[in-house]
Amino acid sequence: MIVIDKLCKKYRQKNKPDKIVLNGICLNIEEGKRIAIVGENGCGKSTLMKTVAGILTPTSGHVYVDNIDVHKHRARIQRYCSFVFGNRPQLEWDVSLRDSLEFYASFCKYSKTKFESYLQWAKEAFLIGDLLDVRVRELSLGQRMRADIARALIADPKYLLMDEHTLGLDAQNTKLIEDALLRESETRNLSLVITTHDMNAIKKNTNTIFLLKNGTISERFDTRSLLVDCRYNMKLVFQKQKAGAVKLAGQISSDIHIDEDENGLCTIAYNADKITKNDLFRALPYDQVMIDSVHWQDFLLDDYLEYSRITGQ
Amino acid sequence: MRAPYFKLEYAKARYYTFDQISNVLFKLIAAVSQIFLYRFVFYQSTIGSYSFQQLALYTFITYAVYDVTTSNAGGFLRHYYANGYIANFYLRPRSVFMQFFQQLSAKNTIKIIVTTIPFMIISFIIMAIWGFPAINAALFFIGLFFIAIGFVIQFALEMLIGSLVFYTKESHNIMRVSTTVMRVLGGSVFPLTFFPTAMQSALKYCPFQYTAGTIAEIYSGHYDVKMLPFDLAASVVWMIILFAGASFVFRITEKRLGIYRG
Repeated sequence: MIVIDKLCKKYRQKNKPDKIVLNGICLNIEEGKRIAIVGENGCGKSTLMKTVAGILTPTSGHVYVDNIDVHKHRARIQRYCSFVFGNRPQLEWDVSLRDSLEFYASFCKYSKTKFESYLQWAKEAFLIGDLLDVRVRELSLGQRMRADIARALIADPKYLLMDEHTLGLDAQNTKLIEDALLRESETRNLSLVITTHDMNAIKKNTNTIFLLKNGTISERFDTRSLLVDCRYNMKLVFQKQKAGAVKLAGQISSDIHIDEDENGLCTIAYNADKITKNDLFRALPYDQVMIDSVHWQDFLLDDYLEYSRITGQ
Repeated sequence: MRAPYFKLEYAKARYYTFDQISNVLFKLIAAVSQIFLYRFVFYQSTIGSYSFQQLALYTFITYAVYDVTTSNAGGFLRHYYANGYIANFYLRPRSVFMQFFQQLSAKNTIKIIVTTIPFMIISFIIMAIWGFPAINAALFFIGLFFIAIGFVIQFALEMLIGSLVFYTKESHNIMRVSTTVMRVLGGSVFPLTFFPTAMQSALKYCPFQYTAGTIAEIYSGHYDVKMLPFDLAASVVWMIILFAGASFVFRITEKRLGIYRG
């Protein structure tokens, strides 16, 4: 179990008061659990992850992984606790992917046969077969991220912590990674701790969400009841050009929620699993809609919270 | 599947063969230039207790061992800190300090194969041509021992100064100045016998000579064997003190690491 005990982290600032990023966080992460830590930019998600990883030293408080104090015995926990940082792949930049993976396997005392069977597994799980002899610096972002997650699993960790692992990835790579993570976490009983703004990744890979606000965990949600069971998961936004209520054509209007602000900016919340973009687009009242202003938005956490409140879920 | 850092550095060397070759060529050209400089500046056959040939050989050997005893720990720390890569070292099951040491040792092992051994072979051929007495086997291995100790001492010294990177925005110039001073005081530019007597006596008790001067003296046949017990004892003591000190200082200073501010 990962125990975060009254964790505080302050950053010193020149000619300014210290910036308090983490303010007495207490959190327990049990084995096999899959959790997401969410919050707005700059709320301290990455600082929390780096402090748990042992990269940053806390101002006060402790982090224990299986009763081992991370900041006293940092090297020991790396044997069963792996990390993936979306903006900082840990693969060795100047050598081939195979050499880089072999380097990490050396730390885990892999035999040649064990390494070959690991490579076989990684090729199938993360589709990196064609990339093994390519230098890491030549890989694309998506390829590098797939390879980095494969690298993180070399040590057969009990806990996998990922900070913005879907950053900059296209839908295809994101899906591949999400599927692989779900499969591995179930087969290995792997605990996942992820920080991301990607609600689809959270929906698929986690069962609990913690909201980080003002340096503390302010709320806790069940992923299924907040994200999966929410009636809506997508927004269509447009500017209205004529007064009067917006009426959609056909039967579509029963599965949507329409909001309008004082400037005539309309938001239609709908369930993308039931209504296609095409159907909704065709149902719009074009005498009222400024066509240039129409755009879709994925639901963010705040949207889920707001519409859960509106629909009383 | 052991010696991860050696394998990694070997893999890098394979990809960057041109870098290795150009490094050797650069060292060769620099050594020859320095030797010519001595010839034209001093333009005499004997300088102090050194003949021109001995001085030329001494210079050549300091270049040969330069790559090996140079740890570049300060530059390494600065580069990795500045680019945020240092975070990667925290995510491996080893202490960060020892990882730096292992990676630089592995790098230097490659350099021994690529640079030092060919340089040594050339210098022995030159010695034979100029009619210098052959170096005895015991002294040859003692020289290797001093090379290893020289690397550890240089690593520790650079790590001590390099830890400044956690306090300053840019430590490059401090590192350049300190490395140059250490090189001069260590007898890398010219033998310590060229210094005033008082300075020589003071430097005898400093660790710098073990990073270059002593090694070059041994292999150029200019070493006073009577000094061996003192040098062995002093170098080992310095190595222990500096390595422990560098490890301690690094452990304290690294706590200031704050990459990306989250």
